[in-house]
Parts: sequence; C-alpha cells; structure tokens
Amino acid sequence: MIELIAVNKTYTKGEHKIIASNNIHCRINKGEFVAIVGKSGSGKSTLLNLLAGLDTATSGQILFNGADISAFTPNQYAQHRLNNIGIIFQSFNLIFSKTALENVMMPLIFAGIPKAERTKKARAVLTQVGLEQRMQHKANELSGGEAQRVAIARALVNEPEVLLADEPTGNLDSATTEEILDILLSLKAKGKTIIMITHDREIAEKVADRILTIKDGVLSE
Amino acid sequence: MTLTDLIIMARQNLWRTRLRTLLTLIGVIIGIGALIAMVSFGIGLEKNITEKFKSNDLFTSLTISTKAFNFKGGPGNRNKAEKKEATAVPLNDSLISVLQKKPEVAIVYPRINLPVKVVLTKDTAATNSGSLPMAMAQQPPYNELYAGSYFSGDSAREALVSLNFLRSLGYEVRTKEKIAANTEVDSGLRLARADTIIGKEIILLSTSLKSTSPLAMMAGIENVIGEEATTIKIVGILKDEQFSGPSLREEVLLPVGTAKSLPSLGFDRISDLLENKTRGNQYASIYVKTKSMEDLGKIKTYLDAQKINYFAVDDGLSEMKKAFLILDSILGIIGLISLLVAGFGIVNTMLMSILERKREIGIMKAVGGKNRDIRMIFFFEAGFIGFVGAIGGITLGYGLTRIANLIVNKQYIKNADEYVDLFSFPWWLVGGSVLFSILISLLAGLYPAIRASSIHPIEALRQEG
Ligand SMILES: Nc1ncnc2c1ncn2[C@@H]1O[C@H](COP(=O)(O)OP(=O)(O)OP(=O)(O)O)[C@@H](O)[C@H]1O
Ligand SMILES: [Mg+2]
Repeated sequence: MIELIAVNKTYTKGEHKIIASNNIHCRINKGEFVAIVGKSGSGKSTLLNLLAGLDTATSGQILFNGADISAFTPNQYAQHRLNNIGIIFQSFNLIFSKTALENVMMPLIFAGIPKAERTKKARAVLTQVGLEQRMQHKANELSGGEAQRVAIARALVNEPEVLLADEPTGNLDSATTEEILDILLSLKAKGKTIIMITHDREIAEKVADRILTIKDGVLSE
Repeated sequence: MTLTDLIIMARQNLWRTRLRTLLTLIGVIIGIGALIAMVSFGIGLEKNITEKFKSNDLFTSLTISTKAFNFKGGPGNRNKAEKKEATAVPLNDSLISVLQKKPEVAIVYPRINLPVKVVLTKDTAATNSGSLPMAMAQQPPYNELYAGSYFSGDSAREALVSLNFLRSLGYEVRTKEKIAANTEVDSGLRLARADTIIGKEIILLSTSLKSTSPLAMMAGIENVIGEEATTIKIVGILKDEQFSGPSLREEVLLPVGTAKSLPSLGFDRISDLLENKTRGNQYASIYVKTKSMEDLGKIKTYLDAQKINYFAVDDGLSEMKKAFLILDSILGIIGLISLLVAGFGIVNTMLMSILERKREIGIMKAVGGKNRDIRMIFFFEAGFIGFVGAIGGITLGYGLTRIANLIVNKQYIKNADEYVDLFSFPWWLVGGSVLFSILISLLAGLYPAIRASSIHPIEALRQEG
C-alpha cells in the first residue's frame, strides 16, 4: 500500500548539507504494524514527515495506493492527510485551550462534516480510547497518557487507513506506555496500517510485525 | 469549513486573548465613531439647510430682476464671470399678468422693496419694507406666524413685523406662555407680550421723489426728495427664521397694494431710478411661485428664452451641494485616517497572534487543514473585529452626537422653538460604515492571513507549546 522508491531528503543550511533520508527503498503492506528504529538524529521523523506529506522529498517516489504523492501540492497533501492518514506525535500536539472533544473534532471541521455528526464521531472515538469521562476537559488538564489517547482519537476520527506515530510513548512512563501500545495493537487488529517510530528496540519488538532500522538516513530491514 | 465554524472559531480565538482584542477593538471603535460622527455632521448640516429651503418652498420660486444675478463665479472670479445683459422685458404689471396666465404659475407679485424708517411710539429703527399678496397667506413661513394674523386685504394699512425687527426697536417680544416660562431678556431690551404689540400703530417714513425736473434738482436735493409718513397697524409678528423665504432681510411686510401706494423713490439709487424708468420698469423685481418643481424648470426655460433675468434658489443650491460634498469629504477623510490607524492596529494584533499560534497552525495543517482554511480562520478574526468594532463605533458615534446635540441645543439655540438635530444618520451611513469597517479589517487581515497559511507545518510544529 505504501512504497518508497529511491527517496532522498537533504537539508541544506548554507554550506552544510545534511542527508536525512538516503536512497530509501521500502514497501509497507496494508494492515502491517511496522516499527522504525534508530538513534536520535538518524532521520526517523524526516521519513515519517515525508509519508505524511508534511515535508517533500528531494528526490524519489512515494507511492500511496499506487499514486505518486511526492509531487503533491500543499493542498493535495492536506487532502491526503485528511483522507488517508492519522498522525500521532511524541508531544501530543493538542490545542491546549480546547477540550478533548474539540481537539478530536478538528479534522472533521476541515473535512466539512456538520456539527451533529462531528460530535457523534468524536464521542465514539474518544469512547474507543477509553476517555468517555474526559471529553469536556481542556487538553491542558489531561495527564500525558490521556493526552496521547486524545491524540490517537483525533488520528482515528477521519477513519484513515494509515496511522503514523512518531515516538508516541516517548513522553510516557512504562505503565502508560503499555496502555498506548495496547490501543495501537487493538487498532492493528481492526485492520489499520501502523507505522511507529521509536528509539526503543524493546518496544518495537513487542508490538511490531516488522522492524526497520534507520541509521544516518539509510533504512534497512 | 462552514461559515458557522469560522465565526465560532473566530469568536473563540479572539476571546482567548480578550484584552488584546479589546484594545484593538477600541481602535476600530474610535475610528468608526469618528468617521460616523464627522460624516453625520456634514449630512446633518446639509439636510437642515436644504430642508429649511424646502419647507419655505424656495424650490418652487424665483425672483425676476432687472439686473443679472450671477451665481457661478465665486468671490474670486466675480469679475471674470460672463456678463449677462439687463432684462429685455420691462418689469411691470403687464409682465405680471402674462406670467399670471401661465398654467405653471401659482403666485406672482411685485417685490416692492423700500428703505424705511419705522417709528413705534418713541422708538425709531431703519429697515427694508417688503410686499406680500394675500395669496402668500397660506405659504410658509407666513402661514405660521409667531403671533397675530395675516393682512385683511391687499390694500389694508397693515403690516407684519419680525421679532428681530422688534428687537431693533427695543422690544423682546414673547407670547404669554413663553414669558411665563422664561423672563430672561438680553440687556437693553424691554420684555413685551406679543398681544400688546399686535394692533399697535407704527409710522413708516419713506423717501419719495417730489420732482424729477432738472430745475428742481438744481435748486437743491430737498426739493427733489422728501420724507413722507404713513400710519400702519401691526397685525402679525413673524417668527425668527434663519432662512426666511422671499422676504430675505425684509423685516416689515406690507400688502402689495399698500406697498405700491407708499410714496417712494421706487428704487434704491437715483441712477437706477433714471435707468429703470427709461426702460419702462415699474418694479425692481417680481416674485414668481410655481405649482411644482418641474413647473419652475419650465418657467425658467420660458424666462431664459425671453431674456428675462431671474434668480432661483436651486441655482445656488447646486453650488451649495458641491460645497457640502467637499465638506463631507474633508470630514470623511478625518474619520478615515483614524480608521486607517485602527487598521494598522489590526495588522499588528494579527501578526502577533500568528507568532503565538504558530504551533496551533502546524497542528491544524497536520490534521488536514488546508492553507485556505488557515487563511479563512485569520481572515474571519479580522472581519469579526471589523464587525464588532463597527457596531461599537456606531454606538459611540451616535452617543457622542446625541450628547453634542443636547449641549448645542441647550447652550446656543435658546430662542428656537424646535429642537435642532445637528446630525443625520441615513441608513446608508450606518450600513456603509459597517461594510467599510469590515472591508478595512479584511484588508488589514489579508497579509497576516496569507502569512499564517504559508508557514511550513514542520517549522510550525517545532514551536514550543
Ligand atoms: N528542517 C531541518 N533543517 C535542517 N536539518 C534538519 C531539519 N530537520 C531535520 N534535520 C536534520 O536531519 C537529521 C534527521 O532528523 P530527524 O528529526 O529526522 O531525526 P530523528 O531520527 O527523528 O531524531 P529524534 O529521535 O531525535 O527525533 C538530523 O541531523 C537533523 O538535524
Ligand atoms: Mg524525531
């Protein structure tokens, strides 16, 4: 379902050239739970951002269900995220001033879904991640685990095929990490394709079907 | 995104930084308030003046004269203005009867304007007397006298006098009710009840020509010119009017027949007299009132064709309208400048909030927000400030003008019978300022909105939150 062909990403800062993705070839199948493991600065987030269309590759092709997304316009990328991709960040990236429910409804606002339906869908996913008691709480009143569950609910609410998670447990203690991983596993069981970044090989081995290792921008099995 | 979403979001975001929003809003409120107060003053002034003219029916009247009036030239180019020739047709009773027969004409009468001295018991004052036919009794301002009644006939030895003229005779005349309410009188004036003045006799001293023979002239001016006295009864008192109809600055009005029979030179200057008499003129000017404004136009065309000079107020009015347009523009520009300052305030606020909300913008983009969505969010916030600012500004402007009105009416228009509204708020001014405020705000929000939407999502998400 996702295929990367000779993908390169270089950052140029004046004289300096940083190769964040180096000739990456890989294929991720539908329903797979893939973990990408690597040290800090190895290029994990860069790869994920390329898949999410938050950044564009310097060269190469990224095929999503057969369509090349590497030449998308910002608008097409936004639509791509809206339709196909849910993103979960290490730092949750919730809007603090808004309630859990409002945060989860955000993608649906951009999708142009009417308010009643929006609320219904958001409530359903929040219930799915076990937050039915916390819907009206402001994001900054939630614990780390709760915040990450809100973020997962937000990633799910558009019913995307693919979930991209960048160190989703990086800011959480071990017990909470287990909870989040359980949620991800249950989503995999429901048929979602999940690509999770972690620097913790132990976590990767616990949940992933397949582990990809990245080092200095080079990806290997 | 739906419109409701955008409005709700704008409200929420502005409320989140309410102090800053309020400060920005104050700028817009002051801007719109100033604009609307200024422009409403200009419109109000224009309306008051033109309505005064309208209520005096001056748009349906003109004055025929022997000499040419010229309104096109301002004070500066008076001499350069085209020279019109003297009226080709003599102003006499036959011209009056020709005009009388025209279907467009309602009233026509000679304006007999004489310099007179008036004696009321022991007091004397000089003024101009004017003439009015019986037909004018129903016309403003003569249909509403301050006290008393109109003449009883065209040759009655009766007069209407103005309040102002009675002041120059030393009397502050008030109705019974007014005296009861307020006895304050300017120093040097005697307070008098209107009904005691009505019925009093005055003596009109007018200058007359005894002889036009050159022999008499050579023998001395006293042989040519004499002063004659006519006794007349005051029957009515005219209100104080800033813009009194055909009797501009005529303070003693007589029935036409009486005015005609008054011994007089006939004209202000000997030279005029000789010139006019040779041309067969009987009167210096003739007043014509038409049935409608369209009729006035027809009569004007007729008079133009006959080479008869005339003055109509609506000639001066179009000049006046231009002057008002300039005034309105100046007032408008002053208001505009303050609104412009407010516009920069909006730009500043928006740019600041973009910096603060960079991460939020990144999040919105990450969850599928398009650049257009982000643009609209900021655009709506700017528009919201404009809308709320306009409502506040209109309220402020309106409130201020009410206060100004109250003060002015209390302080300066003591003697006026009615309350004068100095300001006018036509619907287009209110609606227009709302639209204008929103427009300025949107314009102010344009650059910030574009800037917000073009922030790279990765960069935006990197901001510490
Ligand atoms: N916008 C950028 N400009 C310049 N260099 C960048 C930029 N983004 C990333 N890099 C560089 O690219 C390399 C890969 O960065 P990336 O964020 O992908 O690493 P990572 O594996 O996610 O690390 P971490 O585990 O610390 O999050 C790093 O050397 C980083 O400095
Ligand atoms: Mg990273």
